[in-house]
Amino acid sequence: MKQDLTKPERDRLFEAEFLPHIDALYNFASYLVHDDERAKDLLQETYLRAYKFINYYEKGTNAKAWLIRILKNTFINEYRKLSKQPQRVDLEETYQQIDDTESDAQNVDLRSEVYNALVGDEIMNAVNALPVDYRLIVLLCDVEGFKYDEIAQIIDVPIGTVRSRLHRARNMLKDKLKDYARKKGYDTDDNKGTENDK
Amino acid sequence: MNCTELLSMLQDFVDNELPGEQANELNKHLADCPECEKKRQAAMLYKQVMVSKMPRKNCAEGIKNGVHSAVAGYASTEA
Repeated sequence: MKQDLTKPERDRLFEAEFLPHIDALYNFASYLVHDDERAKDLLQETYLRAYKFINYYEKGTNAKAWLIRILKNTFINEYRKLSKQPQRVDLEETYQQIDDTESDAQNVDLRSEVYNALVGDEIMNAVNALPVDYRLIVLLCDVEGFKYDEIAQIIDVPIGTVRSRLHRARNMLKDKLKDYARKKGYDTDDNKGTENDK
Repeated sequence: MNCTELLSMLQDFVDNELPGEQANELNKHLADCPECEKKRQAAMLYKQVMVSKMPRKNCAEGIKNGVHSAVAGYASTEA
């Protein structure tokens, strides 16, 4: 619902509720574009849009989720332009079908030695190698800690799709992490159980 | 609750999305089922690793100043 705010009111709201999230937004932008200059541009464009549309923000609600949604939309628009991806509706239909068919798939589990073998940059590279919609959901849930209903609002899908897409994204990511660990010479045989069993 | 039911709810459980009553049922099963407990530990381990190992970047002052300038520039044209 649109409110009529004066310029001083807009400025105060921007300072009080939007700017405190600038580090988190920059970090999230860096994860998405993995380039400092593009992350800076994405952050600036996000905050500019947030200010332009501040009359639609409801004071005291989840500002971080509101800003991340703007950042995600800005990123996706730019991403589609750059990669000449099919239109949104095609992608959504494709992903919905994949999400539905994969939702009952088994969990991929890794042992603690495998995780211990990997450094942060390797985990980040594995996240970056995921298709963009899966990367988004892993970052939103597993790194930023958003709840399913917040993620559903940020990426504009039903909660059931959040659930199934997250399940698939995690399995894809763990498969990639396994590959990294194997290349480093670690045995990723699942039959050995977790470290915690010992 | 059996193992199949537990596995269908495990993701919601480790993400703290499961209502209290169902979470209690799940905890009861976990206490008696080492195989399911092993799966819970593996799922929790993944979540801990993602939070602790993903590198985080703070926004440099110069970038923050750039955001301020861009917004102030827009606000001044609007006034």
